[in-house]
Amino acid sequence: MTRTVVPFGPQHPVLAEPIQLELTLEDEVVVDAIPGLGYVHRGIEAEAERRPYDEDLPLLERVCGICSVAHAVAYAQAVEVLAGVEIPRRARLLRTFWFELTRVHSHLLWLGLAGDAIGFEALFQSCWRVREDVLDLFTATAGNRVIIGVTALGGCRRDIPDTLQPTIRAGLDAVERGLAGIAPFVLGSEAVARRLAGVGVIPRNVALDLGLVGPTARASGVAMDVRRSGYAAHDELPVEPVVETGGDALARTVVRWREIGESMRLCREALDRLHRLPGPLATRVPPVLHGEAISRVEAPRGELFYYVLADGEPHPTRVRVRTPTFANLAAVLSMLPGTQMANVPVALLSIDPCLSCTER
Amino acid sequence: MSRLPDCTTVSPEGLLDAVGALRHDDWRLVTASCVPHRAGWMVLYHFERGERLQHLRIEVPAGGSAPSIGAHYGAAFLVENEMAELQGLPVSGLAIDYRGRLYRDFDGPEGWVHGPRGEAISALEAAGLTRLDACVPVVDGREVRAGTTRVPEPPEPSTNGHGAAGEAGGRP
Repeated sequence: MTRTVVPFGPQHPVLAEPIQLELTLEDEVVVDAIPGLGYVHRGIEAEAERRPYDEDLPLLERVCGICSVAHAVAYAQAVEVLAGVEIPRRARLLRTFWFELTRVHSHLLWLGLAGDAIGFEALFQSCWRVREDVLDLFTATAGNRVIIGVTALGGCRRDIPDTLQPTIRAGLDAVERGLAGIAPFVLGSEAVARRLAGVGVIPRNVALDLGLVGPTARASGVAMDVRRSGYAAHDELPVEPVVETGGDALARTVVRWREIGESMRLCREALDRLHRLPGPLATRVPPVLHGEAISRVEAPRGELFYYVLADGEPHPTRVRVRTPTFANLAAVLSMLPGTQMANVPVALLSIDPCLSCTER
Repeated sequence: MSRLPDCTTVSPEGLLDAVGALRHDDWRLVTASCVPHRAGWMVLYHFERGERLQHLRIEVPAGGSAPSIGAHYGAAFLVENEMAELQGLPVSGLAIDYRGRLYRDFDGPEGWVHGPRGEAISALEAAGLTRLDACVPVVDGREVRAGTTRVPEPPEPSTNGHGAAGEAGGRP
């Protein structure tokens, strides 16, 4: 039997960022896959151990352009545990609003890329057009399109005044109209279903064994969602995990699509609660801290984990970041063996890999 | 001072038993965090079950090593290779050993040099290397190197109940 080891990546048309898979093939079928990283490794963890706590916040927001709010909130939560402070309710609601809007824009970005990968260019263009409406909402509320810098240690740096609420609601209406226009091409499209069904199957027991997270795990029937732990304002805005049982690329697509609707609901409910809610935006966090703390949030791609160790210096002794993609990379060990080589790009893309996060 | 709740300190020798017990009770491995500590390392293993967290802590002295927990959690090889590479923690018994090259940042010769006929060739090529040489992972003690190889065919299954062809008792 002839076996060929093929390097898939680091440059590949379907990969927006570099990663390499060492694929062992028998004919056209993958029998083994080993991921390789490091092509854009930036050493952000090490850099964060040299800066004051507050200066780490803009650094860690830049781990990922797509889910920068997730990194900022996760880091801020860990520091707030170290400081023993509780953030104001208004800040918790604001964080939830921007966080869920981030999920909408991330999922739309991914859906567009998936459309591009399967040759459905109209889907790509439609998703990214609606995503522009989401980015306009970021601009209206924070002044930036992607890395919005709204989180502060102890709360938020920016507010959403009541006078802006009509503009934001009109923007959310525009996003929902756009989503309604795309829906038939996602859930009702035979072309999408036939291209994604049965590709990259991850059974539920394998997802549990490998410790997969986020939509990748939920599409395999694992009902886990860190938002259930009640961070930010999720104690008053509860979330039921969106779960599918197919375990394939189609199930992962459906999970993300349904999560967009859930996040839109959360954005509106957060706005309702922010209306006429008095209170400060932040609580003071001391510059020198002791102890160790962990923090978890449900980033668009899944559980984002921070561990921060403080030894009484004006900077953290250790900042450990475990991104969702780092956890989900193990999925390639399971879903690629047995897959046709031609399906590898779609299967890999279906876990929504973010190398910017992984190469922190 | 804030310390992690539900954190148990175990010895490196006792780690696998403790991890095995958690695996048996359906705890999910979230990740591990390695901190250089007193000339050695402090490693925290984080587990989750039903929104509850639990942690195991080991201290590895200089010259020591942490055992791989890959036998209990197959996906641990990535974080264990990362700890070996970024914090220098020796990890014994890795199922997939990247030998310090999980992160394939290029550290070979760069730039251009003159070739044998005066032509410009890359310094990498002049050293007889390709970029793929930068990393050859080892899986179960065997190198996974780009290219084509033939692996031995398995013996044909017996159809007559007397062993494979050519074996004593089988067809000649």
